[in-house]
Amino acid sequence: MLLERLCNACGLAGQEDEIRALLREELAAHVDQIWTDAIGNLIMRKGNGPTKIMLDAHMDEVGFLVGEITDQGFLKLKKVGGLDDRVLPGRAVWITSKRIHGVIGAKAFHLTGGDERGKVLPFSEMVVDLGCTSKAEVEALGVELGDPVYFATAAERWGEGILKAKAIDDRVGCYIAAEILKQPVPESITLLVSFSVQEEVGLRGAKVSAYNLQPHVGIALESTVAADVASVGSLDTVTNMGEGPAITLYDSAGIPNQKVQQGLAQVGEQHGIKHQFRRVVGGGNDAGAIALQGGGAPVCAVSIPTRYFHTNAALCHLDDVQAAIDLVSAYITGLAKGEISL
Amino acid sequence: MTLSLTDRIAELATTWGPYGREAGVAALLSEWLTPLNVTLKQDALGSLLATRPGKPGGKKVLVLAHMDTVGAVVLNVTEKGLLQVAPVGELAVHNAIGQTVLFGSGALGILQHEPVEDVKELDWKKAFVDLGASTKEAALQQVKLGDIGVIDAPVYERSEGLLTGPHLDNRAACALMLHVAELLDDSPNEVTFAFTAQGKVNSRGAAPATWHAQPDLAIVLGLTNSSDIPRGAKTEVKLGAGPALRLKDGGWVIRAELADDVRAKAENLGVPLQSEVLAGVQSEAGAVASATQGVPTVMLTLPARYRGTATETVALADLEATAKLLLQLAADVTVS
Repeated sequence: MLLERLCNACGLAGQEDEIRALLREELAAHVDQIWTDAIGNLIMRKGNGPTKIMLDAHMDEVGFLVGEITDQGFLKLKKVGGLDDRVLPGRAVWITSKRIHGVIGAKAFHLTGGDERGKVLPFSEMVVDLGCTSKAEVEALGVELGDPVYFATAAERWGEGILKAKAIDDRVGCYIAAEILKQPVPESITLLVSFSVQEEVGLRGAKVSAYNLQPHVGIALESTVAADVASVGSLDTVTNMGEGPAITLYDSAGIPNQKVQQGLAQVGEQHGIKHQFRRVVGGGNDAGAIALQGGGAPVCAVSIPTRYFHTNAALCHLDDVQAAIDLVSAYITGLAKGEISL
Repeated sequence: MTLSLTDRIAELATTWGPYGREAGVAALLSEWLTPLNVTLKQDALGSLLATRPGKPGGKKVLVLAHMDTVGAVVLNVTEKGLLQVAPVGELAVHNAIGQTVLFGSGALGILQHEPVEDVKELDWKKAFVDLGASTKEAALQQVKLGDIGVIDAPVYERSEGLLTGPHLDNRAACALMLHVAELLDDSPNEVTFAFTAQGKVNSRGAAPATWHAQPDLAIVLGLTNSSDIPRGAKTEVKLGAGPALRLKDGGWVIRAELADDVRAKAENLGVPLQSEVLAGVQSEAGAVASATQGVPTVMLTLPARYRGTATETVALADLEATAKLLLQLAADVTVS
């Protein structure tokens, strides 16, 4: 399915070409206009009505850049986006869009002792091993400073409903927006979708697209933490996988517009679409940036509960994804029919 | 009948309106602004802009202060009907414990904390709000997830012209702005009074409000911690010694010629003026100064004690002095 292809594609902040190409190819026949703005956001327009709705999903994923090639032929990395050192050693990685194979190496468990054992290796001591023995050998592979480094993994479907993949944050948002673009748009609506760049490094792309598009209402489609995992108390799970898309209550990048927030919940109730609220005040996404551009806009985020996000093996439930498509579509229809007010 | 400045502050400070939920405060301010010669507008973030027309050749002045207060958001309800809450912004847990809190729904609760051996153990994770509901269902009839509780306490006048109560930050500045809007009668300049939303959370309302006003000069109003209490601010700002002219904070620095201009005007008027230089602290001044095409910005602050508590304290004399200076700054814009 498209979502799997999107997750398998690679695109760090500033290197979103593969995602842009995939979305363009997939959606060209379904939309009225496509363009790429100055910072690289892929914008699609469908419909031409007086009410401008902006949907945002960011194309970039977390990963690394090659920061140094050592004389021994190892790569030192720089992080691009938030990554937890605990989950890195032992991961297979791809260097560049050519997908050159490597692994984040660390010395064997057998050689650790005393204070080292059971501790997380500092990031500054982690290296990527390409199987090379010299800098010259690495350079011969075509690896250069500044090349992007990705988790090397392929999406998998587990059972009926679970998707395991890297980059669910935020290819799942791209997928939801893509599916909505394939549906007809009500006459009174101009649907503007920003497949945005550089979210993971400071919500940068969405600032530009929101400033250019000046929407009447914005919805950021996201992936957010689901901490309904072992050792977390029921009041601290933030969201629960399988219980529907999460409407943001608050986050550190912005306060959702109350009318949009309540409008989303209202269509959920009205159409029996499963949804939940995101129960934490930390974290932030493009919604916060979109709200503040120009004279400001009413905005809220709808997020897919995702376990182990920002790792090589994140999990989400496809029922939540479908419910998000249904919820946002119903919101757009509700706005067009005047059942939802702004 | 015009309310006194004190009554205005008291009414504003006891009106529920935390970040992102400023509609009630905006409505109260609109009611008071409507009789004046102003055009009212509300932007997408909920900021209220009242624009008083100028004369041909006049400049555009923006006077801006945020109208939201801090509060704690309801994130979960336990089976026993207690609310798990978290602050957005800078509400300290030790200032909230034991206080009555008011929600947007009108529900009242008590903010309490698990018993601790040592005050260092105080943590929002261990705090909760007791609505007097014994089940989750009963609690959810009073509040919904995402509702916000704010400290509910009276505002009262004390000796030596001091005013004490919750949320004087920034409702005292809002009342001051309203007071100036009423007094301003013959300025050649178009003056927009912006009561901004979400000022307590990274000053989010300031830039969009500035975008709407497109000013030649902005004057930001706020409160500042005074230095005249044990372990007070590391400045020389004292309560009752006049407004402080902010020269620098963690997000902004004043243009030197603007500082000179404000000081000269204060001296001519006989208005006492203090100065402050802050490190780290961010304010709306930074957001305003870099909005639209860049705006020459002045920030005046009211010295305050005990900010963030139920007993924030300001001096009425400082408000009166600030009003006098503001009237002059709005009428006579020398910045180019």
